[in-house]
Amino acid sequence: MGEIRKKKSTGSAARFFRVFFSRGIITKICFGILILFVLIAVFAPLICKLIGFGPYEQDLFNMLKKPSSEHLLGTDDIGRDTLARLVYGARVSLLTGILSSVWAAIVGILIGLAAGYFGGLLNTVVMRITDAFIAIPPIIFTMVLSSMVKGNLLGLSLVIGVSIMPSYIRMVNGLVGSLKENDYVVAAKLVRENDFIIMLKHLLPNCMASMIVTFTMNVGTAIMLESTLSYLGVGIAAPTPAWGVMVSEGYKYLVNQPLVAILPGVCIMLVVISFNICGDSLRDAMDPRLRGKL
Amino acid sequence: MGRYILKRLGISLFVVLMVSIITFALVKILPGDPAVLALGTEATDEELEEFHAKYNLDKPVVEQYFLWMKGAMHGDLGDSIKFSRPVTVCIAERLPRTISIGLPALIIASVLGIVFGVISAVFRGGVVDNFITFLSTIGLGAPQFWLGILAVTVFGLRLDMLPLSGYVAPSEDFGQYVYHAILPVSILAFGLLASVARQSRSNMLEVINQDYIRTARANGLSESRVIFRHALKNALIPVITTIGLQVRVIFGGSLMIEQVFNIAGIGSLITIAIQGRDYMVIEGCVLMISVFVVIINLIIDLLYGFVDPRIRKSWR
Repeated sequence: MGEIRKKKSTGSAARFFRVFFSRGIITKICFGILILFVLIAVFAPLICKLIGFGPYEQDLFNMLKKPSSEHLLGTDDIGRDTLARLVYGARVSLLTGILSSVWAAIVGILIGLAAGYFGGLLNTVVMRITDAFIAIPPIIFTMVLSSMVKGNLLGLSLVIGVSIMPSYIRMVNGLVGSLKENDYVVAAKLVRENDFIIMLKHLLPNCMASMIVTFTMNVGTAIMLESTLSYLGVGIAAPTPAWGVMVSEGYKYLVNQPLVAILPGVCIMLVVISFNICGDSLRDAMDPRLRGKL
Repeated sequence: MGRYILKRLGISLFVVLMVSIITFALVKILPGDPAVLALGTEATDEELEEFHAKYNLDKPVVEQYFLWMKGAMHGDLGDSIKFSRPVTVCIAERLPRTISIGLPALIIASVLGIVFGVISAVFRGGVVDNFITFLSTIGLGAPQFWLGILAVTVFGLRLDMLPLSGYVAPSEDFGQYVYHAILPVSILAFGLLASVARQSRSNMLEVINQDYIRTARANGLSESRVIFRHALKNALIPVITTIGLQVRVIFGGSLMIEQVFNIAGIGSLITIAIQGRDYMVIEGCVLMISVFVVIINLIIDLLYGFVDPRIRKSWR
């Protein structure tokens, strides 16, 4: 029995990866890019040791230099190594993106679950408040709140988390609304199972596929928001090497030394696109029925 | 149907009420005393008190909210601290600029997005489809502010084809307006176009695989008739929602676009207001934009019924 079960699970895992990568080379590349950026972010200090420059180190004899053997991607206006700053920027972006999506998921899923399960007036009120949140453009919402956190990464992730929370509430709420009509939920209610047990043990696991997909896509959204806020000067505060900060600092020197502003933008784009495409492929692999819905 | 419209209206009103509470709370939790920000740290206690009394800041928060809402319903959103003018005047001055950039972007993005999406779906897997999918992937992933400064550098500085920044009202000089608006409109439209094209493509693909399309083909209808008369109509209904949601994106995008291209519109007004803690302006702008978004969504919801008889039936 144990053997059969094992076989079955490896079979579904194999199927999962087959479908996940079935979109061709693009998903593989994007998955590779994400792994690469995660490794860069984790080993940032090590990489900086290898290239010989830290993200804050100023080399005043080499300002706005073109790429050379000393500075592989050149330097910015006060002689900081662009590569070193990009490497640390990966840390800032990924950390903010993942953290904000985690906060949003925890709170959003619980709210959506409770509102969808209990239904009635609670559900109506929660969903209308969610509508109200959605009506405010996220960039304006986060910009107002981010002036409170003063460039602090953790605070910024909370602010961005609040702004992407409605997507989780809506998603879980919609799912639970239809799931709770299922026989197993009705049966659990009949044997007087605790409401919390029903929600967490019976309903939550069935939302898993959609939750993982929403999570992946939201990390991309959050990274985009973070870099936009940082660019506008209200996100991560300079001199911390956030990609958005780098674009706004390098803007003035776009004609002489374009790499300083172009490269961080390329990084943002690669990471956001990779999260989007991996999210798409995840959705296809986990539950093909979700296509077009998430 | 009248009952449905009434219910939908009621819901929208409730959402607007929630928006106003969220907006008010959002601004109230910001740190710092606006009086100190406006008058400077040198101001005497009396001056501060006078300022507080003038802007109702000495009253309890709940009363402040009701006073603000009461004013808002009479078309009075308070006074800007920085500009020393009513917020409504500031908005009225700048809104046309934001609209004259945002509306063309929305129209261009919707039309081209639908066309690209449909072409992409009809020629699925071909070179054109791959190219359009590639472009829309970039459009969704590339930061707008970054595309903006790249476009300024390439077309403005290097090629010297288009102006670096600035704005001319269409009523003043239409040619100059177009000349100045090309870059900001294109950048703003690019992201929108990507999401509209994506949505149209996936809807179209779904519809093309339906039985009634196969039946239409089996009946010997020409391919163009199948696509335009049978498939398109059904595929485009959900796209209307996407386009409606883009109104929010336009206002959000105007924040960056107006910063990059130096346009004095609503986006830059909000930026200035947030930097200078101009509370009344922040509240007023956010409220206006959100109410606008809610109204657009209401209209779209109602339009749905007129476009799709199946939805009209469910209204009863």
